[in-house]
Amino acid sequence: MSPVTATALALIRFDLRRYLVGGLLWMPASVLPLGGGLVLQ
Amino acid sequence: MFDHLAADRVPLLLCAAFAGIELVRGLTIVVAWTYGDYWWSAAAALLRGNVLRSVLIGGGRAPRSSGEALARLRDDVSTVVEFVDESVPLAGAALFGVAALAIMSSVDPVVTLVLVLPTVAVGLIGRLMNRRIGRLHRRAAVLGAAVTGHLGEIFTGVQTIKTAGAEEAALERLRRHNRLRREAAVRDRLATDLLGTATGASIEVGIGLLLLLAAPAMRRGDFTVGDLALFTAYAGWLTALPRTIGSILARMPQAAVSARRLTELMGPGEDLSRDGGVRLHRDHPAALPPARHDPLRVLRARGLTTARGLHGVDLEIERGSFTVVTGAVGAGKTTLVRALLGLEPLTAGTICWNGAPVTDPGAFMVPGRVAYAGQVPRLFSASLRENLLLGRSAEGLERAVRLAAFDRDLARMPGGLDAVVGSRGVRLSGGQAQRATAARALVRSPDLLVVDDLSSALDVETERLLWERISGVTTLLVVSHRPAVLERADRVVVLDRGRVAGCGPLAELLETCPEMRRLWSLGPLDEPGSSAVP
Amino acid sequence: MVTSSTASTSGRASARRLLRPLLPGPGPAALLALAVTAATALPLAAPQLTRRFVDDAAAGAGAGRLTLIALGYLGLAVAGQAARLVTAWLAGKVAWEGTDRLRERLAEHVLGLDAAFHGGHTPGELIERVDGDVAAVAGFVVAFLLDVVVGVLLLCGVVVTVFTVDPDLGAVLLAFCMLTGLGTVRAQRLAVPSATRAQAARAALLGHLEERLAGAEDLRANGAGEHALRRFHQLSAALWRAERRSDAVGSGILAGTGAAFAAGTALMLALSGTLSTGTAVLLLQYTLMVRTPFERLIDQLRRYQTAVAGLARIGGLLAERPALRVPAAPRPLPAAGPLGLELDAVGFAYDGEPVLRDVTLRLAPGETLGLVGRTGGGKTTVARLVARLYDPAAGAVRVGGVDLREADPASVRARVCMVTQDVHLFTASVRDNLTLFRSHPGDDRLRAALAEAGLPGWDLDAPLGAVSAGQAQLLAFARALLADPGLVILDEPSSRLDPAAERGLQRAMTRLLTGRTGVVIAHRLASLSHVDKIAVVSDGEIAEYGARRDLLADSGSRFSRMLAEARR
Repeated sequence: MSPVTATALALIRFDLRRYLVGGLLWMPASVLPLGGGLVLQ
Repeated sequence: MFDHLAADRVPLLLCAAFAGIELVRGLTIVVAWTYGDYWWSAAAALLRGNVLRSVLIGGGRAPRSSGEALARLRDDVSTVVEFVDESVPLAGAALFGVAALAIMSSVDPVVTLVLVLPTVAVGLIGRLMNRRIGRLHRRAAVLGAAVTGHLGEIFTGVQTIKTAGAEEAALERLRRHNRLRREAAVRDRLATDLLGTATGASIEVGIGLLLLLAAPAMRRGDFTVGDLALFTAYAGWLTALPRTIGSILARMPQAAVSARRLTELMGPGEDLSRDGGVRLHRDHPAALPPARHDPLRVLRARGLTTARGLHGVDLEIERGSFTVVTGAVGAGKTTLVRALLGLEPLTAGTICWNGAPVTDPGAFMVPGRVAYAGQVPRLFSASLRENLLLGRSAEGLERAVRLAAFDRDLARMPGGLDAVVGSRGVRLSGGQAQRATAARALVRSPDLLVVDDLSSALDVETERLLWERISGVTTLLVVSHRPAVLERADRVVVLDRGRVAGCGPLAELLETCPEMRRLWSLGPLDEPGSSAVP
Repeated sequence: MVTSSTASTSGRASARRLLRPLLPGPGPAALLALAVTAATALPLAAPQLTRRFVDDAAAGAGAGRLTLIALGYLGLAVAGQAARLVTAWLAGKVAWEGTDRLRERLAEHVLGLDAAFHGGHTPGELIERVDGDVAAVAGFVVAFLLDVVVGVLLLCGVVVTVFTVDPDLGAVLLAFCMLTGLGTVRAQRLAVPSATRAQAARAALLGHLEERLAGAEDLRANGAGEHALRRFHQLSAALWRAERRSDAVGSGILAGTGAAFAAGTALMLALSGTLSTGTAVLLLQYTLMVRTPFERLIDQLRRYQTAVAGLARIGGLLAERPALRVPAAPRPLPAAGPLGLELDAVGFAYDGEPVLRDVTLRLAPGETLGLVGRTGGGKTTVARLVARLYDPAAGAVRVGGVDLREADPASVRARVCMVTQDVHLFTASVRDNLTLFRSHPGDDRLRAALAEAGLPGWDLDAPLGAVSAGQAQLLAFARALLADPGLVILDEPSSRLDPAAERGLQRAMTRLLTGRTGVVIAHRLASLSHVDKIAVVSDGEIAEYGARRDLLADSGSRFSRMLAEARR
């Protein structure tokens, strides 16, 4: 594993809960445009 | 909506739903962004904290230019954290991409494939360009650090530059650094943009192909105008996937460079991303006072050797003794005490505290065992009290100030201990700053006090007062060439070009050691009283 | 630290002056305008082809015609992307050139400020101003050209096009865009204070880091690393709180604009019942097209906020005036020969705390003066006044018969030279450290000066490695020898030298002072064996002043007593 990958993984792991919750909170923002497109159709 | 439009009526409900979806999306963005700030800030603090810990406590050493080190802690940390942060949009774009592809395939799989193919091709091109982008970015980062470094040089050496009237020359140098960095940065940016443009173009090409392919199907009525609206709307959003993949691919080499530049500041075997318990919402625990330890009986150093300066120096310091290291300029006096304190790496030699070998002097020779007042006093922009205590309890502060012969100056200072010392302590005279650093070392009540040429900016009277007060309080290791100090010493170590030329009481050395005799006979000029043997 | 209110007023007042260095020359500006026009016009034309395509397809046009339209679309789209790339490249170039000019101007300004200013600002803070803030502004300028200018042009193009398609819809779109734009601008103004606070927290963190990195060895050897780390974590947490607040405002604005846009699109479609399907597709494409630059524009909000906050702080810095006034009609000091020195009833105070009172000293050209006395008595202040790092609060300092306040600053720097015990060494070659980056009279002169100062045989091209304090002092002496001044001030020059090196330096010092006026501060009375006059400074006043010979002859003089004390 390259040093930068190790660093990246460690940064994700040190506060995994907040990273995951923060990431999940972003998901609706990405998925909602799907609905927009369907409504457009 | 568009299928309804073809049928000549668009229900208001659908219009409202379209706007409502966007509103919900906006709200989640506000929440996610604000929440995400914590992780971002904590991750940056983790990296910065680990580098700082290594430089201040662990095995790392700060480079000579603090401006350059600052640039690394500022920009390289951001680059690494942003790289990891990019994983979130990547996941989002991937999620959208999979769902959108599923929906589009259910409408028309062939057209979907054609829409996606150019994007995949561009992703592959991006992978190929990666190394070149990394190289360009490295160059831009190095040149950028050179600009910051030069600015740091200008601002730390501002008095030197101004009194010499060298402002224009320093600015000319800045212009040259600026130009080099600018050229590199524009090239770096162009390469990144090229990748972005290729991504955008791939989508446009996809839509063009979509039109070409959809024409017959639309004529047949298999492909409705509503489908076309769906496809074009998704095509725009789909660009996010290759864009984030491209961005991650472009950032990967940049982040690798940055991580390496940060690791360079640290000691061997130290982990840049170790979780040291960074929690921004809780106050960081206060530093513990140093644990009680094995009180100094005897400190022995054998064969101390450094890359430049020292060659096999032996030293022995007994509890309560007063040892003075002396020698000509470049003899290695400062190097010796720095090596003993672990500030200068040893290539050979051992240090033993009460007979037990010290493996890492940089971590061992600290309060409560040892404290140090360096040659160049270094104070911080804070109150004098903060500068002296640096986190310790105020117990013994008054005593330390008196021992360092700093009490009289302090009494006359407006605000006393609360007086704020300006940038790097410029408002204190050289002698005051030196005695402040001595008080800072003394308040730590060390077993061994190491002083590097403390008296250099002191007048004779103040210096005498200081040695009178300080002698016998603790074990002393002092670099000096002052006759008054040499006379006071129990043992004098004479260095000559990195080797011990003699060791013992002054009177004995003056008989046995030619180098001591030479130094002594040169004596302080024009002070007849002190050039004679006592 | 500049308070936010004064920063914003002065920031606004000088915003135009501030931005002037950022503006490109006429040539690059014309090229950029051309690229921007192409980057706007090409994407605008593309939806017209889609509309034709849909309507023609519905009308049952031949496959050849449809293929032609699709190919035309392809060409336009690729050309549009290329235009955007060229715009980005040109904008990046122009922005870098502009910000470099601004950075240089700011560095020049800061260098022009005097010791009083530099005493109150850490180098780290100044680096953040001149480097970090300027970079934020640079990022904004690129974003402005790419996203704001192109976005607004695109928006105008879309509004005009929709007007030609359907005037009513055009009017609705125009009103809608104006409302959204107005709302965004208003909200942004609200966002600036929180962004300013976030930037201040950032500068505080970086200032702390810079000082602690510079003082790393002192912290380590005094076991204060944990303490510095704790403070770092506190400052990081403060930065997080400030950024969270600023980001909440920023993302709120982004979300609001996005929702407003969707509402506008829905409204347009609800109103567009009477249009052909092709026209409706055209409208959809246009609104999607406007949405992207609009979103990018708001995405730049962070940058915009930091840039505005940065500009305000840059403005605050530029509004700092040196306390040392530049004279209206500067008089040059005599260009050659030793310079006389006269301090006439000089008084001085740091921040209201009097340091010097009624100091009167007179030196004929070529005479040397030794200043002695306890540390903190005011000797160094006298030196700083003579070197014009400060101006006296009362009385006058005259060099070569010219009041320093009326003298040409350049000639003061050229003719008056100060060597202090704090020698700043640059991370650069030996040559640069000697010349301080200036043009020089040739390597032979440099080597001669080094040798004269007691550092023979140094390689001028080698980077200046680790040198002892004593060697640094000798290097400063070599600098002084090169400068060839008419008045030399030596503030404890030999304090860090051992006797052997000091004897060497004494020879160089004698040579430097020969044929020059000199002021020598020393606590080691030995270094004063060659001065003509002695002044004993005590508690900010001249306690004793006279010829060295006379003071030595009088065993009751302070100077004689000090010498006796030193010999004891």
